[in-house]
Amino acid sequence: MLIRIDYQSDVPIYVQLSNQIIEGMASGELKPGEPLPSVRALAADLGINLHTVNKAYTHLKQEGFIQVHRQRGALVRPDPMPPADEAFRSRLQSQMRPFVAEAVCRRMDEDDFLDMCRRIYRQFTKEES
Amino acid sequence: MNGIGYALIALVTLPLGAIITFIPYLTRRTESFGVSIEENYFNDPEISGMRRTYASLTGAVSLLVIIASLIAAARLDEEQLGWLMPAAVGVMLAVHLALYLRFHFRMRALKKERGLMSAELQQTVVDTAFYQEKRAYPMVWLIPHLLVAAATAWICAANYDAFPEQLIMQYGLDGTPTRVVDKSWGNVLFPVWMQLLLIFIFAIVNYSISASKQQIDAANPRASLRRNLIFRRKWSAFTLTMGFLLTVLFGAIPLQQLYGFDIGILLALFLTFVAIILLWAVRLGFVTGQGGSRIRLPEDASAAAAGKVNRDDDKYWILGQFYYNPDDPALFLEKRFGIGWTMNFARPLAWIIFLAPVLLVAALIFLVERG
Repeated sequence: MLIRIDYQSDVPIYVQLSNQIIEGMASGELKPGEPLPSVRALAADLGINLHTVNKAYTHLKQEGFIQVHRQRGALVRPDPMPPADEAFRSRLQSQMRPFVAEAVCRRMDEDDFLDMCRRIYRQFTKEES
Repeated sequence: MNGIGYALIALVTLPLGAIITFIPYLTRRTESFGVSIEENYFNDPEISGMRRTYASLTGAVSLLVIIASLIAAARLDEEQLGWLMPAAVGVMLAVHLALYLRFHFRMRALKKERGLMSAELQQTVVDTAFYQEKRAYPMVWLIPHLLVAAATAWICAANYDAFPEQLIMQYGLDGTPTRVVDKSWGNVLFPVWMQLLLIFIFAIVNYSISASKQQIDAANPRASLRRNLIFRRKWSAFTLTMGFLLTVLFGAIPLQQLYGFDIGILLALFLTFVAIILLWAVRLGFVTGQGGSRIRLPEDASAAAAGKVNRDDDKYWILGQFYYNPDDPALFLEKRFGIGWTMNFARPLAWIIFLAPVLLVAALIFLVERG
């Protein structure tokens, strides 16, 4: 999978990194159990500090997206993610609230907003087949 | 001065002249004279004019130097001849460097003045599967080299008594011995030490080809990735073959000393091997270009550019030539001007690797000199 890092973006590099790996898993571009580059190799390829990549990997590991083994290095979680349980739903809800709130403040139409969510959702599920 | 001397001068200076003359055309299109620009400015009249001026000046000077050395070779005595080749190569490299610096600074000014690199579109693209790809030929390809070295060592050791009491260590350009030493284990085995040193150096080079960081073009990631892999494999094959030829060459030295066949045969072998290596290197340079940038791929026509440009990392390149980036854990990376790889000199290991061969050769010569 190709990862693209924008250096001018307001989004911190480690967030861009972990977001794209999660997106890769959602779209199926990253297969379960697929090896990921080591922290050192990825940092070298991007020409950035080791800590930045480490931060992304630590976050992904804590959230259960990837595994980091001493010998085999980093790899995409081999088994499927746990289902969207109550805990996930409540976390998602609280994370989404500010986005919805800002859309309301800017008088974005409800259907418009839901449409956008649907389009993004389908971007990931379509490529999976 | 005999034919072999002329051939040697031509053999070294002609490929060198060709390479330094055409370097701007072999480098990536996103890097002009060590300055990163957007690829679409590569054919800008001002920038292609700079390439033409550089190439015609360097080419003209190289040609003059080559002709002058061939003429001078006929008139110089033995001692002066020893200096001819280093002097010719030195002049060519000095001119190359001076012109490079001139155009490097002009390019920098031009970039600032005309804004040849968009800040908003900059991106670095990496493939997470890159290190699963075959980037270089594996190290088992050095086994033939080691076998040749072992055979050479065995021949030297088994026939130690048969070697002449005096060994010729050096020949002049005209084929006469210029340095003779008394036989000792150290200098009988000198070719073997050289073989082992060469194998060690080529192992490091081959490793650096496979370990060098991925540098793919953000405007066309998939195609540039494939080009880069072809580039690495071709140069890895070249490195390993060159290592083998040189190992064989050093293996022939004790055979000549033992059986006393004509030194001309050894020189002919040397010239042939050097010719093969240099011509192959020049050919490969023109076929691949830096990073594989000149390799044509069948899917090129259909590939859509992503509208992005590479990250501007000019500030990490001192004079556009030396990479110094303490934040980057990479040790090996591709050069910016020319073909091949360089190192991140912010890493101490880079200095060790840079100086180790020099120190090893010096130590070897010192030890053998003392016998």
